[in-house]
Amino acid sequence: MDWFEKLGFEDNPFSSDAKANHTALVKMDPMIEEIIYRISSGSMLFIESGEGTGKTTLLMIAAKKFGGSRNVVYLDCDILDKKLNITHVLQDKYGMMGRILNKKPKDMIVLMDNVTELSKLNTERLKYYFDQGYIKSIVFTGTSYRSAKFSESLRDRIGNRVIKGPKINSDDAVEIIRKRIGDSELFNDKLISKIFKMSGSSVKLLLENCEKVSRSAAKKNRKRVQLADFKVLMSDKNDMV
Amino acid sequence: MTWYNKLGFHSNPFSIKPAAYSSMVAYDVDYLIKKIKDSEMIFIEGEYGTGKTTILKTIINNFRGKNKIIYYSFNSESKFDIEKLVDGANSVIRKVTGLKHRNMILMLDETHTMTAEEGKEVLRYYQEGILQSVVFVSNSYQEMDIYDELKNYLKNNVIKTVALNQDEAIELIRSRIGDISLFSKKVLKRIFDLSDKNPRRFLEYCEDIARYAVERDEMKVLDEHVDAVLKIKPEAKVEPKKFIEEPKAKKVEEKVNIEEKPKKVEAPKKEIQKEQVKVAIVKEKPHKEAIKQEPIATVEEIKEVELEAKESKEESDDDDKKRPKKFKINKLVEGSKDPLGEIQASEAHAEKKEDGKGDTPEYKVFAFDN
Repeated sequence: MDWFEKLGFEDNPFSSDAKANHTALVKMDPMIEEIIYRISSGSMLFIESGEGTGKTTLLMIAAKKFGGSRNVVYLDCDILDKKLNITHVLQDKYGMMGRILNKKPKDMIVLMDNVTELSKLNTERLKYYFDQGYIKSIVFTGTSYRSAKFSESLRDRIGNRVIKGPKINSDDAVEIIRKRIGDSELFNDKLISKIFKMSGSSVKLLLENCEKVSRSAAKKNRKRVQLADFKVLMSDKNDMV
Repeated sequence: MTWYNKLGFHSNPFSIKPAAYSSMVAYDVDYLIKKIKDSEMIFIEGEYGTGKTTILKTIINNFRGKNKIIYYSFNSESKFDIEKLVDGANSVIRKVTGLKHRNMILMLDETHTMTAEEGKEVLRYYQEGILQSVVFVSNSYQEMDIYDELKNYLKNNVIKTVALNQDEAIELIRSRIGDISLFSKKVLKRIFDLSDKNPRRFLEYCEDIARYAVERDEMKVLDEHVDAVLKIKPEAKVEPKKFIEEPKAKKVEEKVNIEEKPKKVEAPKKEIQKEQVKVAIVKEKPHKEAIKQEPIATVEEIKEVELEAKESKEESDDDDKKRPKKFKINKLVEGSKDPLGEIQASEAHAEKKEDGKGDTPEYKVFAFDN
């Protein structure tokens, strides 16, 4: 029996799988609207938001909205090796023959997650494909637009289209967790706030830490998290030191 | 329904893509094409956003499908190897038979890193007749290390792309949206003054301001809309503010500080404004503070930005008078002569397709090296 089953959940309520839980987004609606608009009006934009605040989730929503005709490309630049070749990515739409014929698509939407740098070659390609209309819109995400290694000409195209993510405060943190666990007695709001603070205001860490303390409670066959369970987090911190 | 749908446009009329507005290139591309056909080499220099890519694109489209154009950017990771480039453009049959294309047109982008040695190679290929013409593109001709002999070929064909002037900017918008009375001349002039003579910035501002106005059911852009979008927050739009605001937090965490609330709410807004206006107006100046600093921008800071805006406005006016235009303005006429007619047609197709009625657009493959 899994820990979450013991606590009365069917699944891990603190999963941070971006694909699974976009319904649990908090304070993202205006941002989603903005991104959808920017994509459909054809632009390059950068979503700047801290780790674990739902950038990937936003991209997933965008992908869903515009997907369907194999027109959307999602690239997680974090896990890609340096060999990324935008040309090939775009041509994949047409399979092998497309590559041989050097066929290029039209009006693609490219979502580039966690971009910290772009090789010169890929920058040139992106610029060119964007300018020529092969790519309709490009959405970059990252934790900092300033420190992203983008060329000046790319920045010129992004212009003021930098969308900053929401600042999650402890109220939102409570809302995020409540959306996931409902009225469960697992935590009270105060505990959630506390965990949030201990997580350095990162939603990603908040979820991870909630899972840890819940596991600890489940281990001890309790249905409520107690301060005693916070030891797990402390020992974690010590490990890191 | 987006604002441009409300105005009766299919797509964003202020798109920053050259493809979307190349029918209104402010440069006499026909003149360049004639030079290329006359086997002359050209050097195009100009700042970011002044239309270099637009010119390149227009030239490429003019020769497309003839397997004549080779494109290379010195920004790319692959080393510049002219033999490979020329070979790459040859068809399989030509490769097998060893026949070589002649009279190719080489487009060299971002040439500011090109060495004199590489320039010499290019010149050799040109003199041997393998290259009919070479188009060099760079930010500045002066700052480049160009092979002396090559300079002799280029010196009379250096074309400088200059920033838009006010009238051209207004003409640009007119060409995009026709005669609808969304923007008055006066408002457009104002927006132009705020956009650092950068057409991309200008179009972006126009888009944001038009959107702001139309979303408020105004069919005419007023000064207050410009203020709202550019002065207070260029990213515009009232809604996005919401995800920056954090009024709820105050109640729980800092009950005592309720008075501070409005201040906090506005702070990030101003921050963004400051940062973005700076990006737009004093592009080169890095501004670490703007990002690193915790929000709460002071009124002084805002004023400073406005001042900068004014300064750059004055500068640009001066520039205008000083800078002689080496290039004549000539509008391309839409129609059979327009090298872009083909693209526009296919774009129209693409739009229909979105509605689920049209056919899949067809694209010609042209020799474009990546």
